Amino acid sequence: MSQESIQPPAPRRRKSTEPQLHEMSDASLVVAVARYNQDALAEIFRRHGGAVHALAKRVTRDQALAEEVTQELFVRLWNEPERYDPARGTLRTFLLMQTHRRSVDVIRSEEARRRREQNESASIAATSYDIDHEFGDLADREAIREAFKILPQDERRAIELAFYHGLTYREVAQRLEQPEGTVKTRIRTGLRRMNEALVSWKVVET
Amino acid sequence: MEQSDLSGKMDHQEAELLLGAYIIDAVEANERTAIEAHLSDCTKCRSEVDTLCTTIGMLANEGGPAPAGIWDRIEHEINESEDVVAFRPPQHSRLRIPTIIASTALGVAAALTLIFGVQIHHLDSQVNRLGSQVTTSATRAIATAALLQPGAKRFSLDSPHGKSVGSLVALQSGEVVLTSFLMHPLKATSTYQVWAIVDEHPISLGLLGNHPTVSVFHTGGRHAFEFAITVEPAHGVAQPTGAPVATAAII
Repeated sequence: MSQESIQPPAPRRRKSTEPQLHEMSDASLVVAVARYNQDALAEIFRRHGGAVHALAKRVTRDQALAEEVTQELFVRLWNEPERYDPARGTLRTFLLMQTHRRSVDVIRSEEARRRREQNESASIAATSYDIDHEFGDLADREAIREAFKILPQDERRAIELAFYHGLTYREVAQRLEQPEGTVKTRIRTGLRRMNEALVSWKVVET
Repeated sequence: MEQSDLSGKMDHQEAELLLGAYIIDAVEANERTAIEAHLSDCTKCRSEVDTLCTTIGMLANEGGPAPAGIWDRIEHEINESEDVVAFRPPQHSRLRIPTIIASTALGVAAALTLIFGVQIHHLDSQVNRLGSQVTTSATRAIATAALLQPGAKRFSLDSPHGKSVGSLVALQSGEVVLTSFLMHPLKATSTYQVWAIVDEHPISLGLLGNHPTVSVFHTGGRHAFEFAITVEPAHGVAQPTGAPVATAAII
């Protein structure tokens, strides 16, 4: 697995009156992307490309698929920047949610599923909770770790299998040998419980 | 098995139960479609999804560097896309939009006036405000700026046959931006005219001219949920003379 750090794409041809890209907010960078500013997309990639790729890798468990998903996400942002609505959350959250959905779609295709199962067939069954897995930002990592800890084991397990392993709630129910309705409830209750904890700790806003 | 009505929409109780699984993409494709149809009508469920988004974003935030090489492939792909290049405006015409985002107090019309020199003016007693047309090279930037306004909503303009022929963006400020319009140009003696349907009566919002591009209107504080476009004589009319060639309904 290649883990070389990518060098931020070198800034090119900038008018002196334009703000430096690294000083611009994410929302302003998206507007610049809408004006076909390729350097702005490079800056967004520098800020969020690692997180996008890491999540895609985590869910697909396949380096090549993760790179495909990452590439597709940023090309789509280039082509359809208006899909990002800053009123509904940060750019990173938007990109990561898109990444997760795309990664899940990819691994649910039969061919990808076969590749993934070959790679990971034993590990899912034996997986313990991934709480100690590396999360990105330190503060987020600590907060989400603590929020995960407060969940009852059944809720934590259901969320982990669904989110990090890309299983549907039905597949989670089969794997855990629990009724589907129970799994649906546990996922929703667990997420709400985590959100409430993060809000009470003032990590996220209401 | 999810419960759906005859239109394929999921009932509230079932959709609500599935929101957690939906937001972490743990539902089947048909369930995702049904839930999204429900979300378009249910502010309570939509609010729950929005509330959980940040938590999901943190859950998803693994961090770490991207491996070398991906950016080169992204750059190669976007530069190789003929469609994109074909519609790309010239480099020198790119305009500074971030001011719009930074100043939420500015309405789009005011911001466009500042940045593009677009003038908003009264046309007649029935007309509220109509933004004059701007150069096509700026249309994409304006459309995006409008969409990035908090609370902005985009709606499709549809022909009577159901074909999408353009789009409108409605802003919380009451302004409405025509962000794209794909109908054919008219002769110089005719114009497209925009109407807001208020209490089942058409109220003229302004004239689009015979070859419309991006335009900005204001509903003047009226609660308009439907818009229509008709073809009229070049000077415009007080009441529509024919059936709409395009309509948009704001739900």
